[in-house]
Order: sequence, then C-alpha cells, then structure tokens
Amino acid sequence: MTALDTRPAIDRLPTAAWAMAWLFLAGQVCALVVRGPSSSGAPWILASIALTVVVVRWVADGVLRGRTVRLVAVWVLISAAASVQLVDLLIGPADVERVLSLGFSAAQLAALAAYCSTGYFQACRAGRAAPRSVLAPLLLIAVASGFLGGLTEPAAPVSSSTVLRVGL
Amino acid sequence: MLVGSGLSAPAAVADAEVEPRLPSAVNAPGAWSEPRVPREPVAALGVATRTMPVGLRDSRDRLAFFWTSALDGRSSWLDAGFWPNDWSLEGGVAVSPDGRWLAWVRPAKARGREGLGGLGAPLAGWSVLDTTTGRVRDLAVPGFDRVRPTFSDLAFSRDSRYLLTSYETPDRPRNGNRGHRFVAWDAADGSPHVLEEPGHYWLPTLGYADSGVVWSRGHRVFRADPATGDRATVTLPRKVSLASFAPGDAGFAYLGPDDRLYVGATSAAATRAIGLPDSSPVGEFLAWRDATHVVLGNYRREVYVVDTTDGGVETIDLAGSGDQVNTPVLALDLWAEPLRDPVAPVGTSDPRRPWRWVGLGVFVGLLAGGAVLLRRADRTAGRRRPQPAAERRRVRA
Repeated sequence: MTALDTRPAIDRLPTAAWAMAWLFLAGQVCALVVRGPSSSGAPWILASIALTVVVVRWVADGVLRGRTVRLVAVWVLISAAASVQLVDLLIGPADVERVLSLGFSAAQLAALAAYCSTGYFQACRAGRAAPRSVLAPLLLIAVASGFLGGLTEPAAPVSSSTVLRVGL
Repeated sequence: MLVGSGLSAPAAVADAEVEPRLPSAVNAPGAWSEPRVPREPVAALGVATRTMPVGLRDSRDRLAFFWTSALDGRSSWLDAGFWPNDWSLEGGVAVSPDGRWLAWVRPAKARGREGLGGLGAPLAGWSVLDTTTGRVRDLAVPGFDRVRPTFSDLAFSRDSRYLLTSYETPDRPRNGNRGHRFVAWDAADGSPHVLEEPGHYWLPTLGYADSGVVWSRGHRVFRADPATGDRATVTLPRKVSLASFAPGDAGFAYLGPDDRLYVGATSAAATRAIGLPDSSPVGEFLAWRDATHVVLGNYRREVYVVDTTDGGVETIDLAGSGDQVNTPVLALDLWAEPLRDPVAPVGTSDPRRPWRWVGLGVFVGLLAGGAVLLRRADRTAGRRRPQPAAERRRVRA
C-alpha cells in the first residue's frame, strides 16, 4: 500500500487567482473608459505600453509563484492605493470614478488575500513550482492589463507630452 | 419664481433679543472654513481670500464673497454661484439697509466669443436671498435671457424694499451711452418697476431717503415711489455727486463736485458747505446716524461721521482680520445704532488633516493584515525562516 500524496495540487490555479487577474483587467478597462487614452505623443505611448507590459508580467509571475518581494510590493501598492482612494472619497465628492477606483482596489485586495490563503499559494511558498503552462493564461491577462495601463491617461494630469511611465 | 439656493442651510439662529448692529470691525471668515447660508440679519458683505482643498494635498486661494452677521459679527463665506474674479465690474453684490436681503449678479454662460466676466459680459439676471428663510429668488428681465450690465452699483433702496439695477437689453446699440434702463425690483415678490427708460445720458447716481428711490443726474435729484410711479425732482445750484435725505426728511445733504458736503434742513436750504478730510477723497454717502450726523466712506475700511451742525469729523476704522479686498458693503440702517464688538474670529486649518491620519491608519492596518496572511501561509506550508548565524552555530555545536 502506497502513501497518498496529501500535498495540494499546483497544476491548477485557484479561483482567487483568476478573480484577481480579471479584477485588474476590469479596473484598467474602467480607467481607460473614464480617463481615455493617454495624451502623450505616440512614441511615448508605445514605450509606456511596452514598459508597463514587461513590469506587470514580471510582477504577476512573481505573485503567481509566491515570491516574497513581488508579492509584498503588490500588497503595499494596492493597500496604498486603497488608503489614498478612501481618503479622497471622504474628502471630495463621491463621484463615480472615485467610488469605482476604491471598489476595484478593495476587491483586488480581497482577492489577493483570498489567494494568499489557498493551498496553491502555500505549496508555492513551500518551494514547489507551478508548471509554466498553468500560469500562461493568467500571464496573458496580466499582459493585457499592462497594455491598457500603458495606454490609459494617468489619473494625475501630466503637462508634458514626452512622458515614459508605468501605468499600473 | 422661487428656486432653491443649492446651499446647505443650517438651522435658523435669529435671536429676537439681540438687536442687529454693525460690528466695530469686519473680520473675514477663517480661510479654510465652509460657506454658510445666512439665516440672520447681515451687517456686511465683503471679499477676502478663501483657501480651498484641491485633491489630497494641494490647495487653491481664491477671492470669495463673505457675509458678516449683524447679531454677533461672525463672518462666513457666501456661495453666490460666481467668484469675484469672474466679474470684472466693481461690486456685483448688495446688502439691504436693514440687513434682511442680499443680492448678487448672475453672470450668463458665455456664448461664442463672449468671455465670462469680461467687460460687457452678459448677465442672466440677479439673485436675491431672503435671510429670514435662506431662500434665493432669481430675477430675470422679461423677454430676455441675457442683458448687458452697466457700471452702476447694485444697491437696495433705503427702505430695503427694492433692488436697484441698471442694464441694457441686447436690442440696444452696444456702444451707446443712453441705452440703459433703471429698474427697481420688489425684493419680496420680484416684480420689476421701471424708473428710467433708455434715453437718459449716462447712469444715475444712487442716493437715499427713508422711502422710495433717490438718484441724481447732473444738477437734479429725483425721488420716486416705484409702486405708485409718483416722482419728485429737485434742482440744485451745483452738480450732485451723491444725495441723501435725513431720516424723517429732517434734513438733506449732498456731495458737490468740489468734494464738499452741503447740508441743510431741506434740499433748498442745503447751502452750508462742510470741508472733509483731505487725506482720502470721499466717495460714498453711507448713512445718517441721526438727523445731524452723516456717515461718509472713502472706499476704504475707515469711515467719517460728520456732524452737520458744527462740521466736526470723527473717523471710524472698520478694518478687521483676514486678507480682505475692497471695502465691505454695509447694512446702512444699522449705522443708526452703536457699533458692537464682533465675536473673536476663530482660526481654521486644513480640514483634510484628520482624514490623512485615517488613511495612514488604514494603510498600516492593511500592511499588518498582509504580513499576518503571509506568515500564516508560510506556517501552514512548513516554510522555515532562515536562522540567524548565531543560532546556526549554536545548533551545530
């Protein structure tokens, strides 16, 4: 009689990871609809898109593999965004953009927290590596999010049209 | 037509036992404070610098209107729907002599090449706020959705019944100097009473009397009852800058072209000239404190009280705190009573400060939550923290 392997399977991503990915994409779509495309010059928009895609894909890969630095960076960024958006909502008028921004940040944070509680994440933290084919669909969503992030007009207006930025 | 003011209306604070008075100093509100709808008699309307938050960190300074309570001298910002900087002409606001009514111009939305607030920019009309109810009545010229303003000040008649306006309708030639119409609007029901149709050369100069409307042009002083149309005219031996009848018509005084005050028991007897202080030219005839004392202004915050019997002049400085611009408009009836020291102004600070601490607390809480989650996941996964070097040496030993 062989002992059963009780370790969590990592050949399938948890629902929380999918929720997180779709929430980031939906957030970027909403930002694009509300703020419109960037007013920078075309070369700068293309460069911003390329840079954002690279950064977002790299960070997403780290989060999906349970890497500490990238995970903490994402948690800090979303927490900071949610805190600032909450204060912005308390101080200013409760317009649709403010409410949506805070709603997305809160939902993304909740999805990330749920993801950190999954067996998949614990397996990654224990040192097991998920197959690349398992991560590929979510990394594609991350690339799409990065594309939209680089394309979208930043929340704080920028006076110069020659701006290279990472739109998260 | 009655319309909502669009402002938050606090509870009425009118205190029947406190007599309305002018404050001995007109203080501006705290720069960061919020606007408030007046629900009590108003002693003064002024302009000062207001600071408003922009976003989370920035702020913006803007000239804004404020009103001062006649009950305690406290000041609050007035949300009139336009900013003083948007209105290139002087004034644009008025307070009735009894302090009950406030009025302001209502600039029209610019069309095409018209610039908001530019010289000759159109008016949609005027607004009158009743401080007993806090409600605003919008006045508009029948048949025209916009009119051209003139340099004539917006003012109330001395009996506080009528708002006096001077404007040109768009069907008049733009560069004429006889195109204005002088109209008194009943503050209570908003009905217009035309005092002068177009055709008179240049604008009327407003004066005062207990009842009716007084204005002057050249050597003549007019006094009319807008409700009945009754009108009387007095012709004086010299040009009249500003004219005023004493309470109960017990006297008459006017400023002549030589900047001297001419006084008498009647308009015909107003021949005695009183020299005024040379330091500042007198520009405003404010009020009568009683039958023998006239209050004159100089477009600054000091006023002169002139004794018409002996020519004595007392100077009162109304300067108060705050970054104020121009002289406040005062409720003129209140000059008949002694001035009252205002409540000491309270300093204000950035209202976002406590919310920033809330945001910081939320951020720290979220970080702590994330750390707990990560630690729990690591424990469950059996992941061990790297041991410190000293620990490793102890274990090996």
